[in-house]
Amino acid sequence: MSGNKSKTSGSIALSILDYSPPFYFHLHQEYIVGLAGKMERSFEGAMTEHLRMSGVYWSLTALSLLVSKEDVDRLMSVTQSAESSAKNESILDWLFTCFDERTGGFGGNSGQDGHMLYTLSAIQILTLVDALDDKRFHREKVINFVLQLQRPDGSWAGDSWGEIDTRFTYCALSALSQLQALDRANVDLAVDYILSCRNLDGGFGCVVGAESHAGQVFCCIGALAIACSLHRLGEDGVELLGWWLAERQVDSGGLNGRPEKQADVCYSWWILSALSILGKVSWINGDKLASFILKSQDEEDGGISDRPDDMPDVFHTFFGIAGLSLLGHLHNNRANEFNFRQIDPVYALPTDVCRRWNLPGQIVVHGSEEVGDRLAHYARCDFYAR
Amino acid sequence: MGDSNNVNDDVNQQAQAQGGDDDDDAAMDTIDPLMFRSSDLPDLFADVVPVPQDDGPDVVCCIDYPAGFQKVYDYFRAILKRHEISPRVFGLTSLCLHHNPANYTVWHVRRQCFSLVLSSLSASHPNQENEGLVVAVGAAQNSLLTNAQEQLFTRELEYTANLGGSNPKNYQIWYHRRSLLSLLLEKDAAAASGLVSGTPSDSSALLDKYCTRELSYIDSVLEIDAKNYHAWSHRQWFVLAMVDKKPSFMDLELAYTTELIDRDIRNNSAWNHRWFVLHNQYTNDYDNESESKQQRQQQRLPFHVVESEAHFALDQILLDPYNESSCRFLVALLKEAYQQEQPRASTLIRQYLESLQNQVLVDEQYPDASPVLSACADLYEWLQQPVQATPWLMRLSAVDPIRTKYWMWRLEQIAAASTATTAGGNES
Repeated sequence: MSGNKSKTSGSIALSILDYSPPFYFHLHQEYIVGLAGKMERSFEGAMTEHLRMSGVYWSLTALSLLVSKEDVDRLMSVTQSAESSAKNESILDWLFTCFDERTGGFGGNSGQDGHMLYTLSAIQILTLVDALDDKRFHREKVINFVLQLQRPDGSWAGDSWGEIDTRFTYCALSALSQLQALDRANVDLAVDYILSCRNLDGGFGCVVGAESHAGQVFCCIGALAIACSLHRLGEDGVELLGWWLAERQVDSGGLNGRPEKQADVCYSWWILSALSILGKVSWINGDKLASFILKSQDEEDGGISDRPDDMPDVFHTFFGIAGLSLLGHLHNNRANEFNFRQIDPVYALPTDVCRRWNLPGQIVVHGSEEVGDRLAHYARCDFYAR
Repeated sequence: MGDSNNVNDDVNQQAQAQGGDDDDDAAMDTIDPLMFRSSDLPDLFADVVPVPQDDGPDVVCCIDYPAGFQKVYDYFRAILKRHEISPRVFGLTSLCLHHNPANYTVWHVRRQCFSLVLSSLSASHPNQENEGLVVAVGAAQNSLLTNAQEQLFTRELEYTANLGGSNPKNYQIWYHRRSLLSLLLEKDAAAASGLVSGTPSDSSALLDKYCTRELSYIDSVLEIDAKNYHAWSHRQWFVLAMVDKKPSFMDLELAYTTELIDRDIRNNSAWNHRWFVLHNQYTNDYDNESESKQQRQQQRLPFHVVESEAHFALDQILLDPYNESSCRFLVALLKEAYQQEQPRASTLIRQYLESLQNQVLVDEQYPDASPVLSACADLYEWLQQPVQATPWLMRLSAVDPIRTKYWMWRLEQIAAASTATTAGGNES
């Protein structure tokens, strides 16, 4: 083979590898809207019945990044039940049936015990659709549910059974912040506990000593951002963690959650949001990551899966779309005619929603570096300030 | 947010398990021959009206859950409404969990039923029901627990292990194990403080039995997936809960991490566990137990341990210079020592910089081994020798292109710092 021929075949091969599908905006819309009906009839729906509240949060927020608030309401029967509905129940109607009187929290579905995870999801939905003032929402009971789950060492339990996990700290601080009751918790102690979970690699696990994991890192960094306590990481701490997060990027462009594990689209969220808060998004190769996410789309039925060629699900669809938003791919890309809403890395809600409610938070900045308008409203932790 | 990182895995595994009544009953036989079958439900719960699920607005009216699933959960919703906790509900939860072991409310109810049944089996309980429960013949009587109570614990732990087999990443199952073991530890603590009858040797025998079994259970899960996050955090919880009673545990744990690293040098969980074990060990360096405990809590490693662990890490790096975990471990170890004892640690750092360059990277064997290259850069920066770090960072930006921006940023930091230093120098 002549040198030229091998160069040509080489470059053809390269262009196949480099090919990224477009963002199948309409297909994802159809996928998300179609899920509601599918859930009730399917095996998968039965298996995830206990976490439906989170499933609804993922669906609504993902769709909110693609279409207007009014369209989300209409397509998903958020505030009004669909005319064709036999049960005459909207999402909000159902949401309030999930309130657990006994504990004061929200369960994953009606009849489920109150739990931190689903209480946060419920509050996020209410914030998203602007229904925190709904008469059916027992604000004070929910606040008390959250507050009484904080432990003496500052950590948070998921419910009265006492399982401790830094995920629940994030749930608590985000929930309280959205309910404007953050100052009623012992935030300093919560921060102390989070810092005690910091590991040799600068990352965070589910409890003290547990291995660093990208999901837990998001929870801890998100919690510190809400608590405006990122400075307690120290400049070295921020840099060490930023590097650990950047090291999660593998050859395919995707991100894994821990060393030597497989890349998964959901880490596009956990890691990218943490990097956004720490001001280090540039430390990963954004184009390669975007390509990985785009290749994980289902180009026939819509939805996004954990990696290319797998089955999609709503969890990965949400985090994939959110990841593309954080990368700026949906907003800076001239090929996109649509005006997609931005997602906020601290609260995992659309940026405009966070701004409307003045949700407090903090990000790390570096001297005169530009902060995009997504994060401009947050308090700044600047290690380089003179 | 949520515990469904592996929704698809769980759903696929359950798809194999689900089926109609006959399948349920067959499955129940293998789980626990003493629990009843779904075909028994109408008789056992003749006084109960089943309640269907309200799953939100339904655009299409028909609901078509898997057959056995719907029936069992309709009964569960009914007993929830009546707040019933009883032996028959205990059996019902087994059927519910067979269909969906992630339903956390079912686990809550199950635990309450377990406590009720447990206390009904105590020696002092007037209505002790032994019908259907096999009492081990010839087993030593333990005054902390009646034979029947011990049987119940053992059976429940086995039940949980069986369920865990096809659901290794299910948070609820792991938490259930923890709650059972916590109950046992509470009983042991009560015996130790004289609150209940039972000699220290009784409690020690009880703990020994469950301890060994628990560690072997966790070992078996890690045998299948050596990085199972839940298994590791459960292990850490368990080992910490036992460390005061069994200080030798930590030494055994250290050996366990050596074995796992030997099997798979890139098992980051094993490296993390090693770090955890080292920082939670008693040491022999201190005169009394309370001082040792204090040192353990402050997480200071005696210098001889730092030296031997650095040596261990280097051996692993020599075996695989492309492994993140070993290099991170070495660098973190040396940094921590430096923060506590600068002079001795500096010497050690210089020694390891030499080893990394002259043993690992000798003759340009691994020009692109980024973990080793970055370890060298980091260690030079710790020694306040950023200029020495520069060539390593430049090489990294070439051999690790996906992170070029990061490596360039490191170089810019060094350049900016040296400009500032120079400027400062000029002004004085």
